[in-house]
Amino acid sequence: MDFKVFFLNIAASFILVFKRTYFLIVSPYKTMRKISTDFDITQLVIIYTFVYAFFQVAHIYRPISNPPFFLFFMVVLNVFATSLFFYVISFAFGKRDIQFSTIFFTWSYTLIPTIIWFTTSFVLYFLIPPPRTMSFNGKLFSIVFTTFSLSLLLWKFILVYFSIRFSTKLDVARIVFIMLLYMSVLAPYIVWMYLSNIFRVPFL
Amino acid sequence: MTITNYNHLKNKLDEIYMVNPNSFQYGWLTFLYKRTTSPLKYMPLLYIIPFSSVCAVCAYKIMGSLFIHMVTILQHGF
Repeated sequence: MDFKVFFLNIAASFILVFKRTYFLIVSPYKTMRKISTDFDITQLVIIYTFVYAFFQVAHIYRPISNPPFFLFFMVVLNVFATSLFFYVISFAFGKRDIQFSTIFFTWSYTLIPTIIWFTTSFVLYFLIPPPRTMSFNGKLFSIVFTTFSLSLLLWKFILVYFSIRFSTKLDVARIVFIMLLYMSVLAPYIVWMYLSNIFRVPFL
Repeated sequence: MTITNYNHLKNKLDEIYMVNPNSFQYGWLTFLYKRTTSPLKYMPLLYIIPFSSVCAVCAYKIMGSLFIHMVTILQHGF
């Protein structure tokens, strides 16, 4: 009977992850607000299982890349460090009632646009392999792919803002300040990752 | 039933008011902020996708073949 409850809990968390992913597209404000009131280890495991599964599959088709577990470790380390950064800065702003787990949980959900982009790019790499040409089809695909990438990036920015807003309960001015501070720390880290051939496009 | 509805409503209100509303020092700035960000709370992709497509077309018009090369590099990014 314990196994039945265990599997039912996993199934419920699976459904919640997909449901929240859908509603993060439809109504990101309300969904992220709801996510910030919750904390479920199983949902975190599911999200990071998708991340690891992507690295594992991508490594099979691109063996020249880094080992999948190393890349996965870098992603988890980055999310952890980012959550710690926002927790410490929010603490410095006088927010003593926030929880690290809430920041970590909401920030993990902001990985969803990243997962979607990397998975789609991986599929398109084999369906429509580069290089692109100056033909009509090449230009059309380039514009569509750029639209898709930019849309996901803007959606991610929105999710990031809502994640910080609801997990730290700071106002927009302080969030903008924290984000500028975060980008100033993140930029050299992204450059380092690129020069070290860890991530060409950062998995953030 | 009434108590359940009350508890549900109370929990919903607690959730809605878990953060203070954003406000700036200047009323016009607060108004501008709320008008520009309120569409992003529900179906933001309805605004994001047209905006992104316009940006992509403008980038192609400005950069030309360089834009195509950048997309090739971006496709290798995963």
